[in-house]
This record gives sequence, C-alpha cells and structure tokens, in this order.
Amino acid sequence: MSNSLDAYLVLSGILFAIGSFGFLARRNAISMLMSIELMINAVNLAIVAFGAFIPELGAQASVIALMVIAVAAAEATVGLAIVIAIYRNKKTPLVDEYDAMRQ
Amino acid sequence: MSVWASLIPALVGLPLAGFLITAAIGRRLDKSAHWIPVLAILTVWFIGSLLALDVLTGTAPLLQGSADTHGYAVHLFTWIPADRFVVEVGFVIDPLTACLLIVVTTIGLLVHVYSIGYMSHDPGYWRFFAYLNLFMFSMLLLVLSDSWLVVFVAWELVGLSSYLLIGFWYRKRSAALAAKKAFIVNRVGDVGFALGIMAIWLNTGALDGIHTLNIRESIEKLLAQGDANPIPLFATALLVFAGAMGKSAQFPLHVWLPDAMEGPTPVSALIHAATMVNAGVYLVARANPLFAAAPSSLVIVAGIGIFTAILAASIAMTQTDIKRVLAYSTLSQLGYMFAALGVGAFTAAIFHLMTHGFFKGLLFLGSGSVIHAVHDEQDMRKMGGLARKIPTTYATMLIGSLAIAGIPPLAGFFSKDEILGESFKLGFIWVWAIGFVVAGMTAFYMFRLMGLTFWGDFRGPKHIWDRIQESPSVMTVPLILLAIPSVLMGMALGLPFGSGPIKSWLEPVFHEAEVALGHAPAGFELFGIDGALILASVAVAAVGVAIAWRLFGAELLGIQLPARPERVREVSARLSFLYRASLNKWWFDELNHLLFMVIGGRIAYGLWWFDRNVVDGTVNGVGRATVGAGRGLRHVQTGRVQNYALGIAVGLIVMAGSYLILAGR
Repeated sequence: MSNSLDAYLVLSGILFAIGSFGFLARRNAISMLMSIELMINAVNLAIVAFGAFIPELGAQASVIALMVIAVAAAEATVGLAIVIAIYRNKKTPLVDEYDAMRQ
Repeated sequence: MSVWASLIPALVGLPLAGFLITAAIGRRLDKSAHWIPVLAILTVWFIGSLLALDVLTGTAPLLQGSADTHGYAVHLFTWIPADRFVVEVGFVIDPLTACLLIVVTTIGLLVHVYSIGYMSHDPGYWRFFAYLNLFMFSMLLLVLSDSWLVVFVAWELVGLSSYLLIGFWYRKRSAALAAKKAFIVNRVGDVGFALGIMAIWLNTGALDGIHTLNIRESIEKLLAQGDANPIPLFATALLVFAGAMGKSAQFPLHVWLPDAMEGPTPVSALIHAATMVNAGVYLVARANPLFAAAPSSLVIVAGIGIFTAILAASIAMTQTDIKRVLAYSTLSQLGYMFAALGVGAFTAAIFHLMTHGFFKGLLFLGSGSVIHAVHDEQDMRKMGGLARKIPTTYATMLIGSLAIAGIPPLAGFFSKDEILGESFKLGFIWVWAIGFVVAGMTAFYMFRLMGLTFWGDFRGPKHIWDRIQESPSVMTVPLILLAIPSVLMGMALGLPFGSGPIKSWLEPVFHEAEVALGHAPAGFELFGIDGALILASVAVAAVGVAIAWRLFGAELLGIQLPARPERVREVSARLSFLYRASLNKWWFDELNHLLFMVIGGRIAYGLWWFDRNVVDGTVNGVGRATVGAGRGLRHVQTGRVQNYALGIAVGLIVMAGSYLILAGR
C-alpha cells in the first residue's frame, strides 16, 4: 500500500481537510496562516506524488511543486506582515474582532 | 429691387423698433411714451398706403410668374436652408394684402392716436403703447409674409399680443382669466393650423421630395398634384380653416371674443374688431385656390360662418354690456365674411372685411368714448340720453350703427348686400335666408344699443350725469376720421354695382378659384334679381330698426319715440325660453364648463390617479425592492473571514461534487 498513488492522495486529502478545518475553526490569525501552509503542502504532496507515479509528467511536477513552495513563502510573508500590522492597531490576534470592513 | 419694394421691410421693422425702444426706455418717458410708437405707425401708415394704392391701381410691376397680378415682392433672407427643404423669408404685397394693409395701418394709426387720450390716466401708459406696437408688428408680418411658417409665427405673435392686451389690467381677476381663456381657445385652432401646415409640407414633397412652404408655390404644387397628395386637399383645407376658426372666433371657438372685452377699449377696437379677428378671413382668402379645389370644404366654411352669424346676432339682442353687444356683433359679421368665403364670393368677403373694419372700429372707439364719459360704466341700463351731452360721439356712433345695419348708402349696405346677393345667385339659398334674418337682427340690436345709450332719460346716478362731458379731441378726431370711410367707402368701392373698384382690384387674386368653382361672372341686373334682393335686405334692415325704435325709443330727425320698457318686459316674458337662451349666450360657457372643467376634470383626475399610483408606483416599487433586498442581504456580510472562507469551501465542494456526479454518468 505504501507504494501506491492512492495512499499519497489519501494522505494529501487528510492534510488538506485538517488545514481547511483549522482555517475555518481557529480564531487566531497566526493559526489560520499555519492552516493555509498545511493546505498548500497537502496540494504539493499530491503534485509530487503524481509526478512520481505518472512517468509522462516527468520533471514538470517537480517544477510546479517548487513554484508552489515559492508562492507559499511569498504568501506567508505578506500574510504575516498584514497580521502584524492589524495586530498593532487592534491589539488582538483574533480575526472575529477584525470587522472594520463590515460597515 | 425697386425703391418701393425696398420700403416693405420698414413696414414690419418700424413697429418692431417702436416696441423694442418703448419696452426698453418707456418707463422713463412716462407720459410722453406715446411719441415713438405713434410716429412709427404714422410712417408705416404713410408707406403702407402708398404701396397699397400703387398695387391696387396697377402701377406696380407684375408679380413674377403671374399674368395679371400687380404687386411688390421682396426676398429678405433664407431662414432654414436644409438641403431640399428651404424656408425663405420674404414679403409680398398683392392686391389682397394691399386691402388688408389699408385697413390695418389706417385703423392702427387712429387707435394709437385715440389711445393717447383714452389711456392718459393709466399707470401702464408706456406698456400699453409698447404692446400696441408689438401687435402692429405681428399683424403686418402676418399679412405681408409669403411663407406659411412665417405666417404661423406671426399668427402666434398676434395671439400673444392679444393675450397681453386683454390682460392689460392684470390685477383685475376677470381680465386675467379672459386673457387666459382667449389664449387657450386660440391654441385649439392653432393646433389645426399647425397640422395644416405640416400637411402642406408633406404634400409638397410627396412626389419629387422638394418641400416648400412658400404660400403661392405650395398651393400651385398641391393643385397640380391633385389626387396624388398623400393628405387629401379636403383635409388640408379644413385644417387650415380650423386655425382661421380660432383666430376669427367662429363657432364653436367663439367663446373667447366676448370675454376679450375685458381689455382696454382701444384694444377691443383694434384687435378684437378691426384687424386680428380678420386674420382668419384673410387666411382662407389667401388659400382660396386650395379651398376651391375641395368645394365640400367651402360648404363647411359657409355653414359654420352663417351659423355663427345668427347665433351671435341672437345673443347680441339681449346683452346689457355695451361692449359685449359690439363683440357679439363682431362675431356675427365675421360669420358673414366666412359665409361669403364659403359660397365662393371671396371679393364680397374682403369687401365686408374692409368696411366692417372701419365701422366696427368706429363703434368700439365710440363706445370707449361713452364709457369714458359715464365714468367707466359699461352697463347700458345705467345710461340713456347721452346724445345731449356727447354730441360728437353720438353723431359718429349713429353713422356707425347705420352703416352696420345696412342702411344705404353707407358702407355696410354695399358689402353686406354683396354677400347676400352673391350667396343667393350662387345657389346657396339657405345661406341667403339665414343671412337675411341676421341682417334684420343686426339692425335691431344696433338701434337697441343706440336707444338705450343715447336716447330717452339718463338712468344712472345724478352726480355722474352732471359731470358727463365730451371726450378730448385726441379721441373725437379719430372717431370723425373713421366715420368718413364708414359713410363713403361702400360707395367708393362698391359702385357701380357688380363691377366696382374692389372687384377689379381683387379679380386677379380670386379669378382662378372662381373658375375652378364654376362661377360664371353673372351680369348685374339692377331692375331684376339684384334689385329685388337689395330692396329685400333694405326692407328687413328697416323693419329691424323700426322694431328697435318702438321698443327702446328714438330721438332722430324730429321723430320722438319714447322707450317702452313695459313692452320689452312683456315680449321677453312671452318668448321666455328664447330670451333666457340669448341672455345666457345659449349656455355655451356652461357647456364648456361641463365638458372641459367637470367631465374633463374627472378624466384628468382619473389619469392623475393612474399616474400617481400605477406609473409612479412601478418606479417607486423598483426602488423600494432594491433597497429592501440590500437591507436583507446585508446580514450575509458578517465581516468575519471564516464565514467567507466557509462560503468558498462549500462552493468548491458543491462545484467539485456536481462535476464528479455529472462526469460519472
């Protein structure tokens, strides 16, 4: 089983589900960013798994995975910067108190 | 362009300049505000008379494209150059315009002079003269212009100046209402005229795409096209006639003219008796070939004319306001003119237009002098015996009354007799019969007016009687100057019978139409049918005068008849219905009130309800639904990131799930 594509995909799905649950359920902005990283890595795992098991994809899958890692790093940087900026204004990391755009 | 023709624009320009100058600086001129307008009209009168005589006597050159019509034409400028539709502004004086020119400028001048005396105590002195000049400008533009469109502009301008002058004493509620009434009733006719012009425009361009609104060209083209016109000539003619009905106050649009007497008396004389109300007659006469090509439209013209004549005459018999009697008399005489046009006796209509202009202008100015004398009293029941106090006014009014009653050899006799004789000879016996009765009624109501006003004993308060005095000479001289043509004009233009100067003047203008109608130029038989008709109409006029004398008294040429009010009461009690109908003007004001105020008001109210609830309701409903939807959907926007993310996740799951389900099939 450890050598089949399905196992990797199931693991990827579980990781993605945990990530989305965390994103939806946690109120702390930092935790939400971490959940996002989890989801991105789940997707990355799926891509690399496809690349390993389907020969026609070849090196392309690895390239895409590298790309996603780069984007994820950028995203994390920008996200953290925003969170810190809001935190300085609001003095709270809890997102349900960020309601300035509601009005 | 000859020297003479180059003077034509001055006829229009001088009154316009007079109006503009007086309107701009008149307030500062105060009691000398009359100088500019009066001098402008004096010059216009001089130039106008010279030109008119030149045209009428045939010393003017022939008009372009005409074999026998003398006249002057001048082209001013191109107003609307729109490819194949071009409106030119130009003036033409042909014999028909020349006749009108004499009436308009002469009476206009005398009324201006008269107004110097009549309006001398009015605070709006300068405003009055400015308006009078505006009217003269519009009226001259109307008769001189050679384009339908410019005629229409002038048509509206005379309506405007009429409105301004009826409502001259605008602080008086009745005057303001009368002005509004005149304006609105005139609009009804104007809609017809505007549609008529549009019909002409459409028709002229129907075949070759070249539209023209030049009066002469367009009519020629319409006649040449015959049945190829998309809008039948009959309908076109009737639409033009609708405009004439409004301006000349023919039934059922006659209701505005009597109320127009709320204006100052010189205005009643100039606009509502001698000139503007003739515009309708002029219009039909100007378009005579058009009407002649659709003879059934002429029958309608004759019917409406003669009906208005007898209707108005019957009302004039019982009115007590001196100016209202004259107003209904004007309606009745205009009815005569339309009857004459309708039977095809165009020359007779214009002849009557001219003589009527002079003697009715005289009567109105005379009545103004009477009203002035008895300190602004218009009710004839409070007058009487004035002949002894204001002899000049009395003498001139008597001449005017004799003229309108048709007593030979005064002016009215010739023109009225021409109308009656022509309608009889042209086979319109019914027009003649009604006109014959109207002639008797005319004589009756005029001498009722004379009896109540000038003869017998004064019935007003004593202190007024002591202060009555003759008007100043600036008012009596115009009366005398108008009395002269009232006496002589008929003889000068109508003799010898059947071939007087008026016939030869207007022959070129109306010849074509008369041929189209199949009117053979019948000879005049003084000792045959024509003589008999003259005797009959003189007899009926004499009977009318005699009845009036018996009932309302007379003091004339040694005849001393006392007024017999008890006999008047007896007669009116016996003819109770007719008396009440006449006194209440056949309830036309009440009918209009019922039709337009009550019924029309209900319909308008219903439409207003529909507009407010259904039309506005739809618009407001859309707005309200949008606002409500926004308010409801606002709750979805919580501002919490997780809620939005949940929405995205659910959406993704739904989309991916449905793809899987669909793809799995």
